[in-house]
Amino acid sequence: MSDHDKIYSTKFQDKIERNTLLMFVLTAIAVAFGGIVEIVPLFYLPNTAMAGGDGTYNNTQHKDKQGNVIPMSKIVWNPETSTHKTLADWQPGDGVRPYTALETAGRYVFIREGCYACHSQMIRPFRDEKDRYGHYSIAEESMYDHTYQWGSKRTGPDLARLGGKYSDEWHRKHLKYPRDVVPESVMPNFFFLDNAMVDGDKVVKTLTVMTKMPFNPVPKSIYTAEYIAGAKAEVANKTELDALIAYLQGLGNHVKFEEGVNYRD
Amino acid sequence: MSDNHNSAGGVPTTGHVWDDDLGDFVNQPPKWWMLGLTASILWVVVYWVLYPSIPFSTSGDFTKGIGLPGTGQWTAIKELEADTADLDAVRGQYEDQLKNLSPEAILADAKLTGYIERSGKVLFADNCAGCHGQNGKGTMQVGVKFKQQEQGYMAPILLDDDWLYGGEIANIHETIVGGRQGMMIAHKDILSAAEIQTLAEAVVKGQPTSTPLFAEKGCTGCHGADGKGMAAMGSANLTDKVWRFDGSLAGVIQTITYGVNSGDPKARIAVMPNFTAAGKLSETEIKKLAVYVYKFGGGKPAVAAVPEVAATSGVAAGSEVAAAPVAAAH
Amino acid sequence: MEATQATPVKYDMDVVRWFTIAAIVYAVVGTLIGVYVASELAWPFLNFDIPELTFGRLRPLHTNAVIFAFGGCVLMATGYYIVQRTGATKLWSNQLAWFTFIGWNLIIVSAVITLPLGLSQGKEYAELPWWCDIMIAVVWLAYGLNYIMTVAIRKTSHIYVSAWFTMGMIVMITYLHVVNSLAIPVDWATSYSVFSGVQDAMVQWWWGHNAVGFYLTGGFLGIMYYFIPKQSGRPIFSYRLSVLHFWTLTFGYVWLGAHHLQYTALPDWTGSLGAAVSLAMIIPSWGGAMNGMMTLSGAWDKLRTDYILRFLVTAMAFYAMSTFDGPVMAIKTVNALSHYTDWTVGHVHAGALGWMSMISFGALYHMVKKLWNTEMYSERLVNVHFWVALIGAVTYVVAMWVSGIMQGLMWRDYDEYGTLTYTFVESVSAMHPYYVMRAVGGLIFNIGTWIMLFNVVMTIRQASAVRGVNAVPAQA
Ligand code: HEC
Ligand code: HEC
Ligand code: HEC
Ligand code: HEM
Ligand code: HEM
Ligand SMILES: [Ca+2]
Ligand SMILES: [Ca+2]
Ligand SMILES: [Cu+2]
Repeated sequence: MSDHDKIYSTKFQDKIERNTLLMFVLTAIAVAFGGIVEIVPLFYLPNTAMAGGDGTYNNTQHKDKQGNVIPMSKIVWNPETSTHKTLADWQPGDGVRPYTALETAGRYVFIREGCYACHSQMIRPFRDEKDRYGHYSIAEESMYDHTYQWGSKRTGPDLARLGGKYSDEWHRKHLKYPRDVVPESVMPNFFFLDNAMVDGDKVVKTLTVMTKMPFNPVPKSIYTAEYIAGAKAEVANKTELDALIAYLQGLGNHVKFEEGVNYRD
Repeated sequence: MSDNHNSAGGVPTTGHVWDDDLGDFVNQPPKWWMLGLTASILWVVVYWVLYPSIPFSTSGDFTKGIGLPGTGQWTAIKELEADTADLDAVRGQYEDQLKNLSPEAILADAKLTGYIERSGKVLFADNCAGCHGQNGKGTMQVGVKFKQQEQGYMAPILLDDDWLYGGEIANIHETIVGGRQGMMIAHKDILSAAEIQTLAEAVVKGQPTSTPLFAEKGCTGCHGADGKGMAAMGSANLTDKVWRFDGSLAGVIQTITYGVNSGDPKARIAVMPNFTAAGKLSETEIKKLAVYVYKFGGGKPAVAAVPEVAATSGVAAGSEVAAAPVAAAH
Repeated sequence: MEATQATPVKYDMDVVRWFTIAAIVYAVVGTLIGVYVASELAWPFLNFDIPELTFGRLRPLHTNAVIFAFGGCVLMATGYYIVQRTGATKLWSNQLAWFTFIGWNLIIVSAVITLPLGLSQGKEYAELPWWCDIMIAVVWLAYGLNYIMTVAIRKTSHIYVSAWFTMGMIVMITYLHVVNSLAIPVDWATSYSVFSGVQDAMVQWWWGHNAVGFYLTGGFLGIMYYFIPKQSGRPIFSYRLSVLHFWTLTFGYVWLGAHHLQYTALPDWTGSLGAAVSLAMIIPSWGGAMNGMMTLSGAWDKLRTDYILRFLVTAMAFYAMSTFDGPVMAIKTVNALSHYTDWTVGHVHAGALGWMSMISFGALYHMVKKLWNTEMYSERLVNVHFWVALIGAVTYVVAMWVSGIMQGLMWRDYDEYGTLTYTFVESVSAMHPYYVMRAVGGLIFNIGTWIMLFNVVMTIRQASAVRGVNAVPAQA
C-alpha cells in the first residue's frame, strides 16, 4: 500500500505516523521535559523553603547589604532554638510557624468559601505593592501551606499581611455584611459562618495529616501529641467565623523583616 | 476526490486519504514562518544567557544570567530597588524631613502638611477607612442586619471636632501609635432597670447631670462632673448629643446596661488596633496619619480649647463639618 | 489507504450522538452559570445570602462546567467521531466508550453537587474532591486506552493529524492530573496537597497552564484539523506545517506554566524560563492558525453561504489573537501589570469564547447533520447563533481588557508627590461598569447557546420523524 508513497517530511516522521506505539512513546517523552526542568529543582535549590533533612533549607542564605547572613532560625520558627517553646507562647516576629488548631479550622473555611477566587496572598516585590500591602512575600512564609493559597486574581485586596490590621470585631462585621462597613464592596455576605460550629474532630485529623506530609510536614516538635490532643478543646464552641478571623489575624506577621535585607535570593 | 491531487495552485497532496476526502497539500510553510521559528529558538537561547533561566550551576544554585549590557545581572529585587529609588527621588525631599520631625513640628510646616494632606489619602483609605469611613466620616452600622448592641458607629467620626481622647495632634498620634480600647463597665448588676431608664432619659436629652443618679452612681467618675467626658480615659462627652454608638433611648439603655469593652457578651465593642504592634505602618506613616486626621478639620490647637459646636446628631455633625475641610484639602 | 473506499464500515456513533447532545446542554448550563457569577460581581445582592450561591463557590462551578462538562463532552464526542472516521474502523471497544460517557457525566453530577456545597481542594481548575479525582483518572484512562487502541487498529496507513494532537492531550493530561492531585485526605470531603508553598504553586500552574495548553488548545486543534478541511472540502494547507506545529507545540507548551508565577516567591529563574518560552510560542501557534485558515484559500467564497465554516474560521482568528495576547502577558513588564487583574480574565475568555467555544459550535453543527443524516432545522438560526456568539464574545473580551488594564494602572499609579493616587476601593467601584458590560456580553453569548440547543433539538426531532434515530445509518 502506501509504502510506495513519496515521503514529504522525513523517513523517521513518516515511521512515527505509521506506528501508534512509537508516536505514543515519543509524545510521552516530548511532553515530560518542561515539567521536570521547572518542578524538580524547586525541591533541592536554595530559596525554595524546602526544609530538607539537614534543616539548612538547601543552604538558603538571606543576606543584608553588608553581606551578613540572617540565620534561618530568625525566619522560620524553631522551638528548639527559640525562647518561645510552644505554639501558645509563640510571638509575632519569632518566625514562620504552622497554624494553630483554631487557625487551621479557619483556613479550611477560607478554602471552602473560595476566598482565593478574589483574594491573593502573594505580595510581589513592587514599590506600589509595598506601599499598599507591605513587605513582599517570601517562600518561607507559605512553607506550611499545604495547598498554597496565593491566588491569581485581586477582585479584593491582597491578604498576605492582613494580620493585626483590623480588630476582630471589624472582621466580624465585615465578613458578615461587607457593604455595611465598606459600601463599595462586591464581596458576598458570609454571615452564615456565625451560625456554624467548628468541627473539632476534623481539626484534629487535619493537624495529624499535616505532620504526615511527605514534603515540609509540620515537625512533631510543634504539633506535639499533647497539642493535637488538646486541639479539640481549643476549638470547642467556636464558630466558623471565629476560626476564620483567627486565621486572618495570623496572616503575614510571622517574620520580622529587617531593612535592606534581600529575602528572595 | 479530485481536489486532492490537483489543487488550485497545482500543488499535489501527500497522497494520503482519510475518511474519503481528507488529505493534505505538500505546500511548504511560508518563509516568514520558518524564519520566525528560527528566530524564536534563538530568542530563547539569548534570553537564557541574559536572564536567570537555567536551574543549575557550578555554585549549586541556578545560573544568574549576564543581564543586559550595562545593567548587570537582573533580579526582581534589584528591579524593586531601582524603582523605589526613582520614587524616593520625588518624595524623598518630604519623607526625609518627616522622619526626624515630631507630629507637632510637621503640623507647623505648611509645605509638609500640604504634602501629607495629599499623600495621606491612600494610607488612610486602605488602613483606616474600613472603620472610620472614607475621609473619617464614620461608618454607620445598618441596624436591620446587626443585633441591637452593634448599632451606632463602627468607630468615632474623625472629621468633627468631637474627640474621645482629645483632638490635639499629640492625642491623635498617641491613639494611632498605641491603639485604644475605651472601657465602660456594665451596669446591669449595679443599677436597677428603673435607674438605668432615668439615666438614659437624661443622657438622651444631653443633660446627664439633670438627674442626681449621674453623680451618685459614679458616672461622673469617668464622664466628669459636667458629663463632658474625660479625654484621659476616652469617655464620651454626653452633653453634645454626638453619639458614638446608638443615641436612641433604647441604644443608650443598651450602652449603660452592658457597658463598652466591659467583657459582658452584650457589651459594645470599641477596639482601635495597635498599629505599632501590627507592624505594617512605619513610624513616619503613623505621623503622617496623625497630621492627616488632624487636618480633617476637627483637630484642636495644642493650647486653647475651641468652643463646642452644639451638633444635632452624629450623622449631621459628621456631614456638616465634612464639607468644609475635605473640600479644602483638595 | 484505499481501505476507506473498500467495504464501508458501520461506525459506533450512538455514544457520539449522546456526547454531542450532552455537550450542547452543558454549553448552555456552563455559560449560564458564567453569566450568573459575572452578575454577582456587578450586583453583589445576587449572592442572595445563600451559601450555595456565593461567588466563591459558584465560580469554580462555572470553570468546571465549561471546561470539563462542555469542553470534555466536545472532546470526547469529536474524539470518538474523528478517530473512527479517519481510521476507517469502529471503536476498539464500544462498551468502554459507553463507560466513559456514563463515568464522565457522573463526575459532572458530582461536581454540580459538591462545588456549591463548598467541597474544594482550593486549586484552580482542580477544585473537585479527592474521590472525584480518582473517578476522573479512571474515566480518562479508559478514554485514552479506547482512543489509542482504536488508532492502533485503524485501516489507514498513516495516523491522521487530529489523532496526533488528541493523543498528546491524553498523555499530558494524565501526567498533570495525577501529579497535581497528589493529596492526603482528611475525610471524604476534604484533602490537602502533599506539596506546599513554592512547590505546590509550581505544580499547580504546570497543571493550570497545560490543562489550557493540551486540553483547551491541543485537543481542540485536533478538532480544527478534522472539521475545517471536512467542512470546506479542501485538503489541509500544508502537511509540513502540521508536523512542525505538532512537535513545537507538544514540546514547547509544557514550559509555559511558570509564566503564572512571575515575581512571586519562586526563584527568579522559574518565571524567566516560562516567560522566554511563552514568547517563542507565538510562531508555532500562528502556524496552526494559518494552517487552518489557508486551508480555505481558493474557497473563501464558501464563507458567504456556509455558516458552519464561519464558526470554524472565526475560531482560528480568536486562536491567533489569544495566542498573541498570552505571550504578550507573559513578558515580565506586562505581567507585572496584568497579573491579578481582569486582563487575565479577558485573555481567558478570548480563548474560551472565541477559540474553544466557536470551534466546538462549528464541529457540533457539522456532526449533528452527519450523525442524524439530515439538514439543520434552520440554517438561518445557525447564522443568527454565529453573530450572537461573536458579538457576545467581543463585548466580554473588550470589557475585561479595558477594566484589567485600568485596574493595573490604578493600583500602581503615583501622583506628583510620589505617593499612591488611588485607594483600593476606588478601583473596585471603577470596575462596576465593565462588570455590567461583561455580564451583558456573556448573556448575549449564552442566548446563542439556547438558539443552538433549540435548533439542534428541532433538527433531531425532524430527523427521527422520518425514521427512528437508531435506524439512521451511522455513517453518512
Ligand atoms: C466576590 C469577590 C470576593 C470574595 C469571594 C471574597 N471577597 Fe473579600 N473582598 C472583596 C472586595 C471587593 C474587597 C474590598 C472591599 C472591602 O473591603 O470589602 C474585599 C475585602 C476583604 C477584606 C479586607 C481587606 C483589607 O485589607 O481591607 C478581607 C479581610 C476579606 N475581604 C476577606 C475575605 C474572606 C475571608 C473571604 C472568604 C470567606 C472573602 N474575602 C471572599 C471581594 C471578595
Ligand atoms: C478595627 C477598626 C479600626 C481601625 C482599622 C482604625 N481605627 Fe481608629 N478607632 C477605632 C475605634 C473603635 C476607636 C475608638 C476607641 C475607643 O473608643 O476607645 C478609634 C479611635 C480613633 C481615634 C481617636 C478618636 C477620638 O475621638 O479620640 C483616632 C484619631 C483614630 N482612631 C485614628 C485612626 C487611624 C489614623 C487609623 C488608621 C491607621 C485607624 N484609626 C484605624 C477603630 C479603628
Ligand atoms: C469605667 C469608666 C466609665 C463609667 C463608670 C461610665 N462610663 Fe460611660 N463611657 C465610658 C467610655 C470610655 C465611653 C466611650 C466608649 C467609646 O466610645 O469607645 C463611654 C460611653 C458612654 C456612652 C455612649 C456615648 C456615645 O457617644 O454613644 C453613654 C451613653 C455612657 N457612656 C453613659 C454612661 C452612664 C449613664 C454612666 C453611669 C451609669 C457611665 N457611662 C459610666 C466610660 C465610663
Ligand atoms: C457566557 C459566557 C461566560 C461568562 C459570562 C463567563 C464569566 C466568567 C466570570 C465572571 C469569571 C470570573 C472572573 C473573575 O473572577 O473576575 C469567569 C472565569 C473563568 N471562565 Fe468564564 N464565562 C463564560 C464562558 C466561559 C467559557 C465558555 C469558558 C471555557 C473554557 C470559560 C472559562 C473560564 C475560566 C477558565 C475562568 C477562570 C479565569 C481565571 O481564573 O483567570 N468561561 N468566567
Ligand atoms: C501561546 C499561547 C498562550 C500563552 C503564552 C498564554 C499566556 C498566559 C499568561 C501570561 C497568563 C496570565 C498568567 C497570570 O498572570 O496569572 C495566562 C492566563 C490564562 N490563559 Fe493563557 N496563554 C496562551 C494561550 C491561551 C489559550 C489559547 C487559552 C484558552 C483556551 C488560555 C487560557 C488561559 C487561562 C484559563 C488563564 C488563566 C489562568 C488563571 O486562572 O490565572 N491561554 N495565559
Ligand atoms: Ca485565576
Ligand atoms: Ca469624633
Ligand atoms: Cu498559562
